[in-house]
Amino acid sequence: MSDKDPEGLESKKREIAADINNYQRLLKSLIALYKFTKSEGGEFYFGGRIIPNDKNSPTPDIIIKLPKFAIVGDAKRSLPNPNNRQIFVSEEDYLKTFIENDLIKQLKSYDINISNIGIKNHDLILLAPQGCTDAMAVLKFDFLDKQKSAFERKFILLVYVVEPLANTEQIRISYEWGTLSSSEIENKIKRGKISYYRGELDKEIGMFKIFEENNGATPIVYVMQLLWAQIFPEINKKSDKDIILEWYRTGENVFEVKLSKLIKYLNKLYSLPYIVDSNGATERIQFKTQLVSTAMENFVKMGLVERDNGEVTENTKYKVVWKELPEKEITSYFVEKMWKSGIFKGEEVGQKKLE
Amino acid sequence: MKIEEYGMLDQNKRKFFITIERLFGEVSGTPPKVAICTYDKRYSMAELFKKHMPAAFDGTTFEIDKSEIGDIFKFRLKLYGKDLEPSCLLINLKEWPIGIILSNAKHIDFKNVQLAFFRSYYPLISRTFFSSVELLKLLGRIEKTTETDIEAQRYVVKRYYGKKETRLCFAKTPYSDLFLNAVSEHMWVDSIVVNLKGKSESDAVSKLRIGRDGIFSYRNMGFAKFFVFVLEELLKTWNDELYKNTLENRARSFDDVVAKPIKIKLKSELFLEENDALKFIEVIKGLPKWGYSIISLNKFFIELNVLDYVSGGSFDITVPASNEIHIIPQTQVTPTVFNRLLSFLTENYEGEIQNV
Repeated sequence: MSDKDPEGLESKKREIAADINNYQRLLKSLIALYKFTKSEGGEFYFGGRIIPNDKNSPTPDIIIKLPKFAIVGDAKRSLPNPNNRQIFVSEEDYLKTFIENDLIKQLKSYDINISNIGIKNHDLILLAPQGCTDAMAVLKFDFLDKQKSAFERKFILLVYVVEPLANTEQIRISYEWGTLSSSEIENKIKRGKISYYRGELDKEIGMFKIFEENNGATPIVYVMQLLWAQIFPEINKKSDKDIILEWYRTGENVFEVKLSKLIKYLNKLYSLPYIVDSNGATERIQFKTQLVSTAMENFVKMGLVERDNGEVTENTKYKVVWKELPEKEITSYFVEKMWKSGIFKGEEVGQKKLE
Repeated sequence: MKIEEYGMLDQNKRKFFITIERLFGEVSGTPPKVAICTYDKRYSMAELFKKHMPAAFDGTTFEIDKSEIGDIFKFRLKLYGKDLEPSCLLINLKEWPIGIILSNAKHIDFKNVQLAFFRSYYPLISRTFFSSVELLKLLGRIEKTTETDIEAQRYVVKRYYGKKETRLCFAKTPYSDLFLNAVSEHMWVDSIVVNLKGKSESDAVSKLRIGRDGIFSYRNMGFAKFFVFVLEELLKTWNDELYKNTLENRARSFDDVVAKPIKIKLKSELFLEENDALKFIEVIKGLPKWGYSIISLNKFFIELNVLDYVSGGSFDITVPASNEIHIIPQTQVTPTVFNRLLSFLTENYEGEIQNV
């Protein structure tokens, strides 16, 4: 069978690897912030609805509950470039459209009384990637410096970086602008205390593998890897004797699972804790239905999973045929199969038989 | 060991050794061979052997002798319908989740057939490994408890990413020097053959082979002596230190999501240049029936996930320092599966296992 556009495939593999790497940067930085919060006797949450049971409620990305106060706000994987003339006609346009009416407006929606989720006083936070120099310049010098006070509450601007060092990585969160209610914690941040070598974050990185900043932020191949290598074996209790005996006999394990169970397992095993409202309702889950069902649809198109025809809902049942993949490198195999089934082009490739 | 010497042992051990002697006749000219493994203590091995027989070994039969020390399985293996003589024993100890495979077969049959038979029961059985440091400690203990002088005859050394090299020993070279010299050459002693010489001229000289791969052989010693002086303390330490502290209860699961990482601290600074991370991936590719995913690869820093297809166990592995390998067990990691991964890594890397 001849490869269709092999050069395109290799470049797709590289693109996806870079996307996963890039995604991990914000995730690792949040984990660094999580670890720092814990060391200060606090709790770190991946957001939640500020107004419980209200679909239009503001939903901050980060809620940090410290002993004396809380910090509530957003984390950004990237900031748009003010020099991008395809989107912003001028810097003033950027200032108005993005900074004021998007970024700050969002933060202002958290600048309200939120004692209903057990927070009596809080500051605001924006965590952005280091390196968006022009965007940060506009934010700091053209907006924040020029306002008397943009917010009612205190606001702090931090930047994160994951820096490759000689034999490891260093994950750092640094001070950029603003202030906190605790001068002690503010000082620690200014003095570079939120700084960890990769080896110090093993436990947390082993447990937290998603940060859905917005829908579609998490690379789908990354989710497929979690499903195939961790979630499917766990749901099927793969290391139990009877399942192993089935493997010895047939070289594969077949089991059925509902979409809702996959979502439940992914969230339990791999998401950051999220704040729960006073009714105990689960809010702001990270592995959402669409993300997981898209990953499963890819497996269906690749012939590894079957499901009944019809609309996909949380009750949809999948039949997983779990076996040793023909290629040792799992994510690379997924990308190749997806490429050949035309998934990246958003269409199936006719009646072409997959290997 | 002569029958009258059994009097020194407790009754259970006495009965145990007498049973082994009855079941396991030594073959003249062929030293007994031993391999150490661990088993999944959730399950009965007898039931497992009854329920599953690999196709190549169809027709294999076994008997079980039960004792207070452990269940002794005597296998008469058939390979593609042909009887394979001699038989071999599997002793599943009760006190620790350890199995001792005992055989009189020639080396080639032992490795290629008998051990292959037990390998087909992975992950319910998994071969153990020992570090070079543990082998050195073992020799010291044997010397003391048997009141013999240990003379090294020949040994095998290995370095990271290098081939194994057999070296002969000059007379009277202290065995400990061999281990130290290996370290100074950035190598380690992978296995060693020694003579045990008694204080008196009339004492018979025993011979012993010990290896990091958990394979031993002995001559002029008898199983009882071998068990008491060579194995017992080694296996107890393995259980108390490795099994209980490292292998057990490491899996993440729906009911227990906390991650419990470990690290292997290497003797040398190994991950220093750009290619070193790639070399590590090449080693990982050598794990048969395992898959892997590269999560991050930045010059000399790598993050992988590895998946064992037979057990479903998976691990995050990173190399976050020049002399460390960090392992975070994920789901479905039973002690035998973790043992398999560490055993494989030990083949290629000598280091100390530490909790993170």
